[in-house]
Amino acid sequence: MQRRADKPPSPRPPAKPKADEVADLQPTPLGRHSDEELMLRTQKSDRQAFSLLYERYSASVLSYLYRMLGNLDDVESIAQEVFLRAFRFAPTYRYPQKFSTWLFTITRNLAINYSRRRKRSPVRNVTELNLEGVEMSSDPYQVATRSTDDVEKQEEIARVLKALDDLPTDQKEVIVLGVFQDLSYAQMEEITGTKAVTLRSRMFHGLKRLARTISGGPAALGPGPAPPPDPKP
Amino acid sequence: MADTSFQTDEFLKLLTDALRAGPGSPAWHDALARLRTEGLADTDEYRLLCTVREHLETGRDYRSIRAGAGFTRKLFDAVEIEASRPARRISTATLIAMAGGAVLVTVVVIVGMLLLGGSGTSRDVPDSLRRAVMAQEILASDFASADARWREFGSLPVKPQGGLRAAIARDLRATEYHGGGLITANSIAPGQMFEASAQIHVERPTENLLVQLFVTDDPSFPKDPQAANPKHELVCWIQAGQVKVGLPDDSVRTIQDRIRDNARAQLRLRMDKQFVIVEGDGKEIYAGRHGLAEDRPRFVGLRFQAKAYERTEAIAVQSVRILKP
Repeated sequence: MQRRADKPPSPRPPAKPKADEVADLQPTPLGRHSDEELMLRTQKSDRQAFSLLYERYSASVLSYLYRMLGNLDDVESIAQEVFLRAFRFAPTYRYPQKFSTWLFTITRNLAINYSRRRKRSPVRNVTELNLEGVEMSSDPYQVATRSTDDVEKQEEIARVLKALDDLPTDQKEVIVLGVFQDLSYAQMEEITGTKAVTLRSRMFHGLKRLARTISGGPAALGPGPAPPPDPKP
Repeated sequence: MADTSFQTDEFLKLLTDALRAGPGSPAWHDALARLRTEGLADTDEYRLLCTVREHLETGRDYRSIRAGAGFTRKLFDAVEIEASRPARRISTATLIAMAGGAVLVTVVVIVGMLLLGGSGTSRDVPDSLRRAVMAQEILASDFASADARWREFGSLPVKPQGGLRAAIARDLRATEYHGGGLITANSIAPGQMFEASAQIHVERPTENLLVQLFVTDDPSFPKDPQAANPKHELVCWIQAGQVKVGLPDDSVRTIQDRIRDNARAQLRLRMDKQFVIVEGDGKEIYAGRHGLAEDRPRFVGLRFQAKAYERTEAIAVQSVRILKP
């Protein structure tokens, strides 16, 4: 529930102004502004507004990168670059485009570029990485165990989560963006440049492939029964 | 299963909406109800799909990480440096590349202007209009229901139904277009800089039905079938999948790229007392004088024109925003 817990609902339901009535941005506390309003302030070099956007989106961006790349070293450096670019190129943001769509377009493009250019380095010690929650969330069995007491269900959940990594990248991406990041098909269409109809198809077929891991049918996604969870400290 | 079936099959659309939104969402409840109605809820395929989606929901914490203090400090140190940097140093190679690029762009622009027969008016458009940050909302509508801030006009009825749509009679067979739409009930002062943009969903580009975004200095329309007043309007529109704009000299400019089936497009007019910048899908199609009276208030309007029956889904205006700096 990372995104739902860390990020307030965005955008806020817009108050419908009457014709010719203009909402004055000044008196509202900064934290209550929509992402898009904060981005307008960032365009005027308001660093406090930018830090609020960072607070709202840092966990989403980091988690998206980790789910897509699986390499923590890359995740940290790309995420740094994402937010630095968001600040540097703030003047290119065009209000009222949805900020989350704009930010995830930057994130995705950087992730693709990094994957092409860089050789993955071995995972470093987590404490060096300046990231939190890695230990708790990296092991599908631990996540499953924390989620339910039903042992059979735990096993299935862990197998589904593990199988995510074996999906073709395009199917994995639509599941990560749509399911884990809560982005709509329209937003995903804008971010990926792929038609919504194709994204729907990828979502459907991707989930179908994941379903095979619990169906007992042809195990297209790795070895049959999953190993028992690693006893981790 | 072909991709196209996800576009045409309502059930698959409902199902994929539910699979994205997840358990607990309205789409999820709708999809389950539909599966039960059709006796599909217990079939292996759909049962497993629902189960796997529920498992993903339960396991949302998987690989969910947060920034630590070190990460945040490192980032904001870099932001500070970025903010205090006066200008980026440019290498000689970059300078040469930029100079070469500038020459190339100049040549392309000159050739383009010659080909288009352009009057060079875009040079006159003030920077203040181009660079204005339009942040204050004058009016925003998603046409979810009737809205008193708009006034209906013309002989072609329109209806708010998941956006604004034309309600075309099945027996419409015309030699010329019949028009109708909505115009703002309140005016905008003639000296006020503003921007009007419309998000449009084009299910199927067609010649028979077009949609226009316009600004007029005269909100009365003559009683001709088209419900248009060309001498008093600056108008851009989508016709047969192409974005077009009518210019003050009665010529028409067109963006050659066609809008795909089932795509969204945006029309945007940015205007001050004398000048306008018109964009279709983010591409500038015209910048120059708009030709409206400088001393008359402006009204923003949306108009559909049809000359044969088209399904109401063919084109819909999903939302309109009018902003000022």
